[in-house]
Amino acid sequence: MNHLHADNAGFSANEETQAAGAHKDNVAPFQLPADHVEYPAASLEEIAPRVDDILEAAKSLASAAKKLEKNRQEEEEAEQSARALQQEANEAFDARLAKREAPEARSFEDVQKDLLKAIKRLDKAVESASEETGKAQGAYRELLSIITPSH
Amino acid sequence: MHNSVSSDGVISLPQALANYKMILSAAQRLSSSVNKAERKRAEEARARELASRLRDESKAAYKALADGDFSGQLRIEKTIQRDLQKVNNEVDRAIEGANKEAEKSEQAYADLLSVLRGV
Repeated sequence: MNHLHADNAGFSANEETQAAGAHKDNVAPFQLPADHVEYPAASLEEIAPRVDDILEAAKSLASAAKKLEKNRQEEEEAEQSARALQQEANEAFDARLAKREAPEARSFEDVQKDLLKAIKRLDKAVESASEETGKAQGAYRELLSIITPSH
Repeated sequence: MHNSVSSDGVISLPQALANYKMILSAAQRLSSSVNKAERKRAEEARARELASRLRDESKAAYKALADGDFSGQLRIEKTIQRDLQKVNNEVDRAIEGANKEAEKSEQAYADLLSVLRGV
């Protein structure tokens, strides 16, 4: 698992001999990006007994991802229809005040009922999204913990 | 994807969600090949055991032959040797299968790690 350390050790040793040997090349010494950290994963042998758990976690993650995508669409649709209904409600309200309600137009109360439904739908989608995000987080954490060496 | 890996070296949750198909596919291949490799190794062990039993049987029959008991001769030639060859082939095939699945496991695990590391 300690590939990285071994590489680093080899690298710094190289650098030392270069500095000591007054070797004046124009070649810049190889440098890893400062923030490059390779995730120290467990070996295949170590995770082999837990491949079914890995699959379970990946399935949970996938299921949450799909539901989140659906929630996002649902949220968008509910928001759009809430906006349209709000507009319609405003118009019905203004018409009521002006006493010029068109007979074919829906009453303010009817529109408001639908508006409340749309808002409820929106809330539900948001709530479900946060639930699914929690599940996804749990599954992803589990996945990472399985592939992370315990020593 | 390359430059948004968090400081601990793995992709973030939103990225993991965006890449769920690759993660799931690697996990499916990993689990399938590791389990198959295990089955192949169990097959290999069973075949080896059977081979060893057949060799014992064959030795006993040859010994009886040396002792002047020829009743087992036909059995040695017609049955034991043939079975032994068959079971040795089974051992070879199981080893080959286990190696192939081990290779697939390595690849699947490498794929999984490369998605998670965001490289």
